[in-house]
Amino acid sequence: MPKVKIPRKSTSIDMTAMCDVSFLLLTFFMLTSKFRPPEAVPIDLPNARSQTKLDKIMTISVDRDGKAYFSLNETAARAELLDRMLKKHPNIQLTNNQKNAFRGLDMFGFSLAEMPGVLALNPEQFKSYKQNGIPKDSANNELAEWVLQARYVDPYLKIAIKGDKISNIKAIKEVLTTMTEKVQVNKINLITTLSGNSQSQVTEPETPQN
Amino acid sequence: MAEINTAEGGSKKKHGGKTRAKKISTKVDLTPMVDLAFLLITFFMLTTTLSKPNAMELNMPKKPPVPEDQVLINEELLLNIILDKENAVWWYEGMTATGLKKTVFANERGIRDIIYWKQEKLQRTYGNKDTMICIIKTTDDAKFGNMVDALDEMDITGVKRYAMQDIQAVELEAIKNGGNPAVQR
Repeated sequence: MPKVKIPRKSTSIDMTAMCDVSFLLLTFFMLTSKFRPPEAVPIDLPNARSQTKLDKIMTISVDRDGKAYFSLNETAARAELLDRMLKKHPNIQLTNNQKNAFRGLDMFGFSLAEMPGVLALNPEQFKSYKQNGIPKDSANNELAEWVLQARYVDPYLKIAIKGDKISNIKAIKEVLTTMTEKVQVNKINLITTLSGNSQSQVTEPETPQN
Repeated sequence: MAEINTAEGGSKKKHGGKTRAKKISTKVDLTPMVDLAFLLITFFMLTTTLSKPNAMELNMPKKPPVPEDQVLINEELLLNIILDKENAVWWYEGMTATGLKKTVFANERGIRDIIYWKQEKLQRTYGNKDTMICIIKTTDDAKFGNMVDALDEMDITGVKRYAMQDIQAVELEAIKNGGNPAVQR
């Protein structure tokens, strides 16, 4: 009996369609993703087990020296926030250039009085400029104003505090009391990083039988 | 797998001396390109999700407008935890800041075991360990990292009711005296 010959088929597949799809996806991800902006101050986050992800937030960063910085992610929201603040403080005049400079700032830590001067700096000067932090004590609490106005801009923004591992608790407590007493917000998120040592495998304690 | 087909027979002279250009296939192997595209997709997918920060929620106690509105609680349910600047954890039960004991943050033999011990005790007496109330206080020179550690312990041990509170002068004095009550009254 003659052997049945199976016709040889080429194994090569047309990759064009696959390539199309993958590049479509690639373009989508590239356009939608946002890179983490460079940070104005280095902050070493504390470790915790929590894995809740935050999406829409305003961040109050507290650095090692206890200085507070405020940041809003979206540029449009920042512009509106600035307009609202300027309306509240008519004595502060900003040129359009200064306003644009503010819009480009992801994170800032200066008082309102310093603002026109700092915003007039060119990018090179700004990089070397050391920000003094937003005043947050009970006498002059600008942080509360920023947070309050930002909540007017977008009421769904959650408040997150980003503190350094070794920053003094006094500064954090100042921010917390500002939130609870001045802004009337009691729900606050603390930004943490997932701990390196596996603390998650905690066994429940045996409850005594009685 | 993938090959480039090159059309053959283009070099034969057919029409008396006329040279024809070689017919070369326009098909290109796209496999490496797809590989690259998917690699980039993976990269972008991972970076977008990873850039969202982790957070733990903290609910601060609301100050009642009138002091009479304050809720009274059973003293036995209380466990006070005080953090100081040397990363130590001081703790005591109940309302009176006497006999403060010092411990550390550790997976074993630290504050976590004390919380478990207290939970067990409440389970025995009240039949419910969730009745426990933990109060976290810090000295003014403590570090933020320790506060997060303490809140993390609450999460790990499953303490349902906990709050941050300001430290009292009595407690500060007790810590200064190595945990013993400053003045015996």
